[in-house]
Amino acid sequence: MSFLLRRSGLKGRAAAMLIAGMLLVLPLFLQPSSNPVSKVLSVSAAYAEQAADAKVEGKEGEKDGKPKFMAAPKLKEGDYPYFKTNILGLEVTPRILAWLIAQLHLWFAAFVLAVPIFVLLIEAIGIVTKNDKYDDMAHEFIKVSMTAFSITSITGGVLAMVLFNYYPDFMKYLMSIFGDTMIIYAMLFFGESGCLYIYYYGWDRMRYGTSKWVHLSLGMLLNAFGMTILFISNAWTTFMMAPSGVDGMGAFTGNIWEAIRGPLWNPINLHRFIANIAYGGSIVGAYAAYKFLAAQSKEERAHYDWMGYTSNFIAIAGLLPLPFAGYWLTAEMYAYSQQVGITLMGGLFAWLFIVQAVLIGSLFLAANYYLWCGMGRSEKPNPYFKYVKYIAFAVVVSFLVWFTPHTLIMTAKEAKIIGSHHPVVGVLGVMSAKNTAVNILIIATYLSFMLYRRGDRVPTVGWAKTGDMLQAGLLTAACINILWLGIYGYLIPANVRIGLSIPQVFTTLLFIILSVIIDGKMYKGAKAGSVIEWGKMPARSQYALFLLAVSFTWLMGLMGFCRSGIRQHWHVYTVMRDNSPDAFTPTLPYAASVVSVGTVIFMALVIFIFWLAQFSAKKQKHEAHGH
Amino acid sequence: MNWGSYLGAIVGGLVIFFVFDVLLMKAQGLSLFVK
Repeated sequence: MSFLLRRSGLKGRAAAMLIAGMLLVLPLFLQPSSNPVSKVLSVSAAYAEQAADAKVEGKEGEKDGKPKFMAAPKLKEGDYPYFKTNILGLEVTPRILAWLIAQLHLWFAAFVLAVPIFVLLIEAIGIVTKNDKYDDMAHEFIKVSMTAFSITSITGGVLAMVLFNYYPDFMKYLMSIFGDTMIIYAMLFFGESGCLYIYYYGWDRMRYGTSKWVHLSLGMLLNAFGMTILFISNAWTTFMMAPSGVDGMGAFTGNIWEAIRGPLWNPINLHRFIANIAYGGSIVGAYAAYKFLAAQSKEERAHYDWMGYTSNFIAIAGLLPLPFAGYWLTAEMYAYSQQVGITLMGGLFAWLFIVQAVLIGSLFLAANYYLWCGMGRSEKPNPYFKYVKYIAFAVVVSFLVWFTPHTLIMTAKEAKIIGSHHPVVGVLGVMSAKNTAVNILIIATYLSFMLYRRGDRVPTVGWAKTGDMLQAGLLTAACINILWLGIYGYLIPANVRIGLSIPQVFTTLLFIILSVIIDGKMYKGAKAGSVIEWGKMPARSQYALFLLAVSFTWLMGLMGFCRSGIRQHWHVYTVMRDNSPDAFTPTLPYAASVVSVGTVIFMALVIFIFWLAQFSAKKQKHEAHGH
Repeated sequence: MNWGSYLGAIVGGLVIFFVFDVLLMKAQGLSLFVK
């Protein structure tokens, strides 16, 4: 490390900080060796003794000098404290209460974990480019998330109280395994809060020179704490979905690392990490849109237009790789249990994926629409605007294919006439078609972004025309490859077909990488063809940003229900049965209603946060009262 | 218009993508060519 610290260049300092940050989270990914984590953490043996009450099966206490842990308790309905009340027409039970509070906590947590990630990146860009504009924007982003931090803590506290109060035996069991990680989790909050407060309140104090590097390092530390908190809580969630580190009766085998590192832990870690960035981008995008629409001056409008554009970029950057992380997670679910996979994608929950497809499709549409509107920012007309209609066509067709269901809800009479699948569009309901559609959708979105970026610049290199044709040729080849793989999928057995999604994804990524490289070289030293007038955006474009935020929120809520709901009547899948009066899988309209209520509450709180950010910036003028 | 570059990129691109199709299927223990 010392040789890195001695280097005075930007790269050296950045590398040293990166390594320091990685070292902080590294212990989480290390295999236990001769000194297992469970020994270090000294998993509570005291609880094993306490667990010898009537509700608990299995023999506890000491055996061969080693603590033996409780088996998963078998509960009866009477073991759950219960209530039922009606609030504004919605029947509230402990499950609804826990569901709504947990969802609110997750929405805010996702937001506050994401914002410091891109704030750090924007701050670093500000340092490298020596442009204060980036620094100011990063500061404003973190300011918006400050109130959200408090709300995250409050909802987290309330959630813990609700769970301990209404699901005491389940929490006891979970604590018997993860109790020590919960203590670490709580301690990490102190670290995160400390870093956050110094990072935010010390922003102007540590703005230049070496202080700025200290500030940036604090930002990195803040993110390391945040990520570790996320990964720890993910372990509890994934344990409930796919338990590991326990025997057939649910008794803990004593190695906490085995319990943490279940089959779904890393897929969820990655999926939530990427999704949080996309989600955080969409929420700050809504903030920028709110401020844009409320702006009084041209300068203010220009600033918030730029902020909205950056937020949309962050949201898209997160959204593009998200389906692939989702595929990995789902593949691991299938690998863990075919039954879980089929319940998820082939049973009741499959319809949620249709809703998901509609929402993700609308996210892509909104993000693209915003970029197309952005082409109007140029002083001169964007020469690539003529291609928008073709991109729009590709986006809409892909969108339609993506949400075409495999089976239809039909009456017996209708089914008799056309069969179980629609004779024409039924073929579009399978994954071969959907994988193809989503890859084309991603490429189309990338093209929107690329053409937008090109609009105000003119390349000066002699091979610009060749570069254009090269990119167009690669685009055609990529689309042909994706399409033929999609069609080929219909002709081969399912076990081989599943594998085709990997080359399809790879084609998309390779095309984007090659195109970015060619474009970067072509536009190196390009001259300005037009001037971008920030703030020259129609108001309707800002509603696309609102749509992004609301769709993301609703989507997270619905698919969160889906992820949790596939456990069906189990607290911990196949290990601890849920015997509470609410242990039934709700109908989809019922679940959608609960999630919609949650979305409305969340959005109301977000509007409060936006208002507060604006309110705190105002200063009251002193007036003489005349007495 | 530089159509030579366009056609060259299509052919070259298809060859590259196809090679990766085969390799990536192989990496998963599968074969692209089903008998």
